[in-house]
Amino acid sequence: MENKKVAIIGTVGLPAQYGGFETLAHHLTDKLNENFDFTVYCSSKSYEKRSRKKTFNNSTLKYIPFKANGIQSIIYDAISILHSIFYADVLLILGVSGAFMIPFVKTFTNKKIITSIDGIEWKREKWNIFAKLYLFIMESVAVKYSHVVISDNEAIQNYTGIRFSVFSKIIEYGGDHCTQESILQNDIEKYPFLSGEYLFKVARIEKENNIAMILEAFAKLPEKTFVLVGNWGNSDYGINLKEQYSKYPNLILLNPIYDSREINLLRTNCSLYVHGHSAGGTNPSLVEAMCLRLPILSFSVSYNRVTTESKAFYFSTSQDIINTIHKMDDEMLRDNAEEMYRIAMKRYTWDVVSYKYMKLINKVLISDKVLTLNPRLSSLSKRELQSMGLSQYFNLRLNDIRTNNYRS
Amino acid sequence: MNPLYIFLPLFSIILALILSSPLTVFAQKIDLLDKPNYRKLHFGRVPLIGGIMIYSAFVLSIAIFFSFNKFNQDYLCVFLGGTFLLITGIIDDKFNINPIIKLVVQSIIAIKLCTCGFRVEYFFGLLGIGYIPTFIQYVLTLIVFLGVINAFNLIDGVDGLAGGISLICSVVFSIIALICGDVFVLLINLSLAGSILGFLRFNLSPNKKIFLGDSGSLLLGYLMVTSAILLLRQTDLFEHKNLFFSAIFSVLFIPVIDSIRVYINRIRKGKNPMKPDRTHLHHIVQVSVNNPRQTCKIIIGFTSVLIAISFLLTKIFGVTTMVLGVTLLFYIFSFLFMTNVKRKRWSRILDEINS
Repeated sequence: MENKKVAIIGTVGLPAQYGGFETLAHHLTDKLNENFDFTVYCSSKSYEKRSRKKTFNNSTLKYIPFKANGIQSIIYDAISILHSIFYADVLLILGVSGAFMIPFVKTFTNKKIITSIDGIEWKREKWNIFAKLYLFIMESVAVKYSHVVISDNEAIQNYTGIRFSVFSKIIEYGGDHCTQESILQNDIEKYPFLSGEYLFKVARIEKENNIAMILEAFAKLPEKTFVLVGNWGNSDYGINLKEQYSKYPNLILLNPIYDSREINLLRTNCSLYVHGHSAGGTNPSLVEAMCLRLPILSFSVSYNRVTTESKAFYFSTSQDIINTIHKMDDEMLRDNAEEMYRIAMKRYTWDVVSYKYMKLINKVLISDKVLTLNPRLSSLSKRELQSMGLSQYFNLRLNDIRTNNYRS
Repeated sequence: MNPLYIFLPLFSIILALILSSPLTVFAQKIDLLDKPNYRKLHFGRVPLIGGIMIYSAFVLSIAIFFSFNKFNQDYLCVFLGGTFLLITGIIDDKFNINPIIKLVVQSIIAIKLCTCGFRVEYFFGLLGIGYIPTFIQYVLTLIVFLGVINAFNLIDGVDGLAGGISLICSVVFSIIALICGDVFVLLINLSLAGSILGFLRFNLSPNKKIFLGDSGSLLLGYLMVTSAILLLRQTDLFEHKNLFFSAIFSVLFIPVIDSIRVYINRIRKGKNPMKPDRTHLHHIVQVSVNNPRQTCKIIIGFTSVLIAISFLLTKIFGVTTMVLGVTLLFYIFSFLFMTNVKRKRWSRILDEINS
């Protein structure tokens, strides 16, 4: 029997050069190409003409002449969706930029639409007010009209449940593509701190990643070497922070590193990984750190707690960081690293993630009754909710009706 | 045109400024003060004398400059109606009277004006309709009358907003009246423009603040809708009557369409349409910009843009397209601000869930 055709829409493209969605597309096409015929939409703006491949991982690549990020992503996604309805059975849409197309596709075609809404994108500081409004509207369109909504975190599943009465399916990211790297002599020449003990963080330099809070703490811990890799030059926030904290000898503020071996090398050999992200959902860099068997000190927000099953170290203030680091000993760090690794191997490997996607695509393909996959919580009885382990929604719903607080 | 007309607004401003102190003392004496509550953006007790101030300055300036004898009896109905409405508003400000009573008073005044011949008689080609039968003229005039008066009452939620929109209206109406040669409407609106400016001086002041009160907002709505109906009757005779119509329509558009939007939303949510809430345009803009002065500027700026666009649309496409166009623009404008209110609310809820 011929394989069903799946279009992957919304990534920059393959081979993966960038973030989470591209890595996801890479591993799905790698692990499931015998089950489905994939077509992945790529941005020709991100791939030079001679480096563009026609196929990758046995999947077809289609190039769209717009950028996959920023305002152009709206037209990029829309064209990809429009093209895919001519052949695909399932549209796997990653992100909500082009979600205004989804109601039309659902109304006028029999294509099945799976949308991964990523994190709460409209809440991120990096967007201006118009982008936030657009993403907020598109998120509601995507959730209301897709056959299946994927969220990458229980906190976001709760949010779609409360706001839209839609039970989204959780599928996280994988992190086991990161490999442990040993230190070579020339590595020490390039990064002398590798010869000693250091703590590490890699992040975009944005307020929501709590960079200032973390640097403030480590400025007060002169005995601890702290290495932070980020795009310092991209904003006034980054430039000012770098200027303010460069004078501290224990703070090593590095520019972005694009070589995957180098970044894995710095991560693998740190004594503690500090994760300050406060927005989004399951953060790929956190999952990767867990897969690299690192002890984690994470900002205490529900996404991070859920990702680490509340078993990492947490902080809410810079004083928390100082206190936690003073308390830690080698055994605690070792135990924490093992616990993080155990969780990662159970939940965040690409084998697990791909298998979940395969099951979901097969399910959406055979299901005529979409509601069984995407039930409105308000239509379920208390018993049904209890059997699904979702009884908290019943109380929420009663509460919502009374206060009219949570409904959009 | 009598050159004295130029001094009329100046005279009204001076009168309004002079009247402010004695009226403030009077308001404090009889406790005609606004007290803060959850729907209001101000703190402290503020005198509700804007209406009395505007009306006194406006009537006195006309009386001193010109004799009322110049106007025929029918026109005196307009002043009389204003006086009744002002008194009703003052009683409402002081004792909070039943909305039904207010509506009855407004209806009686509207019907009286209709019998004096002040009616909407022509549909300006909107939906292809021209002249309308007399009975429908009465019904339509009553709806327009009540609609506009109460709409002005409802937009009076941010300092300077009802005053600012009324000022735009009276300036636009003065220009149209000047072109049409309608001395009565011209005098009313020139004098009104001056009185409103005098009022805004205090309404926008941080220390000597005064409010319009129901008396003021009802009065302004009344004078605007009456001027509009009188002008519509006059412009009927002119070649470019559609352009006059678009100007009159667009200056009154935002208060009216916003009230309709709020009523529809309340009914859709199964709520009492007359029960006050915080969903008016000035409330939702205020949530986004968090600054009453900025809120006022945005809405008045948007009104000005709509006036310009409605003029262009009428000139190029006609009245029906203009009405549809400005309604669509208003929908987009309010939708964006409403969405931002929701976004902020969900952002707060998410923070609570995640903390």
